[in-house]
Amino acid sequence: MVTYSIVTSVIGISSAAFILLMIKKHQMYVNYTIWWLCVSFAMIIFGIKPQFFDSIVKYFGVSYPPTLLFLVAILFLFIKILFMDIERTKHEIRIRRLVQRVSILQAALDEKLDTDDVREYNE
Amino acid sequence: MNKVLVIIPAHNEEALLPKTLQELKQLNAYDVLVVDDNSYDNTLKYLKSENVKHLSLPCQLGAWGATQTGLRYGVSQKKYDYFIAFDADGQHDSMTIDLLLYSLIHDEADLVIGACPERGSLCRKIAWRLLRLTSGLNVKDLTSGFRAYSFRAASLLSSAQASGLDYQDVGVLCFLRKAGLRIKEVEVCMRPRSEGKSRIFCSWFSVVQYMVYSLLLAVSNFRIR
Repeated sequence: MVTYSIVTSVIGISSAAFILLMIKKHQMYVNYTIWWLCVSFAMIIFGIKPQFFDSIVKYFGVSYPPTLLFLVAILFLFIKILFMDIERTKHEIRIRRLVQRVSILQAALDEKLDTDDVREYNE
Repeated sequence: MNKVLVIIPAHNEEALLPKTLQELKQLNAYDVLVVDDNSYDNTLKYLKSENVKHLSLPCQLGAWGATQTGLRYGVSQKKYDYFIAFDADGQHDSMTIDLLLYSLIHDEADLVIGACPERGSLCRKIAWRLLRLTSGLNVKDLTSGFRAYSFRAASLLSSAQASGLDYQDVGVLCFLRKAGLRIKEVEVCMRPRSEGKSRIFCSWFSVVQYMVYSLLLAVSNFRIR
C-alpha cells in the first residue's frame, strides 16, 4: 500500500510541477492555465492520498471506485477536447479572415507604392 | 450603368486562365479581378506581367475562400453593384454573364446560379439529388461555380460567419436562404473542360470528404421547401 501511494504521489506532484513550470515560463496562455491548475491540484491530492477518492465514491453509491474515476476523467477530457475544437474553429476563421485581408491590403499597397523596393519586398 | 465585378478564383491555372481573361477583355463590359489562391505555377507571374487586377492569397483557402476574398474586396470598394463568380478554366461562357445579370437587374433574385444540369457524370447527379433532398434546397445545379451576386448577397457573404465554409455550394446557399434572400437558377451552356479537372470530383477521397461535409451541412440546415 505504501509503494502504491509513493508511485501515485510522484506522478501527481511531477505533473503538477511541470504544469506550474510551463505557466511560469509563459509557455501557456493564461486562460488555459486555470484548467490545468485545477487538474494539477486534483492530481496532487489524489496522488498523495488515493484513499481519499474511495471515501468520496461511497457517497455516490458506486460499488467499484475506479469506474467512477474513469468516468469522471473521460467526461472531463471530452469537455476539454470539445471546447478545444470550438476554439480551433474560431482560430481557423480568424486566420482565413486575416489571409484575405492581407491580400486586399497588399493589393492596395501595390497600387499606391508602385516602387521597386516594395516590389522586391513582395517577392 | 451598373458596375459589375467578375471574380475569378484561380489555383494553378496558368494553362487556361489567359484564354479566359482574353475572352472577358474582348467583352470590355466588366471589371475583372483574379484571386490567386496561392498557386505554385506561373499564374501569379502571368497576372503581374499582364497587369491584370488581382489579389494574391498568402495561404491556400480553396475556391470559396478565394471567391469570398474577391467579394470582400468588391464590397469594400463601394463602387460595384453586382458580382460574378467565374471559373478560370474556360468552362463558363463569358457571353452568358448577361443572362445571369438580367435577373439581378430586374430584381428577381439576389443570387443567380448559372446552371447546366445536363453536365456531369452519374456520380455527380446522384450527389446533387442527395444534397437537394437533405438540404431542402430547390436548386438543380448545386455545384456550379458560375454565379451572380447582388450587392446585398455579396455583403452578407463577406461576413466572418461565411468564412467558416469550405465550399461555395450547399453552405453558401443555405446561408443566403437563412438570411431570406432569393435564389434563382438560369440555364446556361457550359463547355466541357478542355484541360484540368474539377477540384472536388477528381479523386474518390475528395469526393467522399466533400459528400460527408456537404451532407452534414445540408442536414443541419434542412428546411422544408
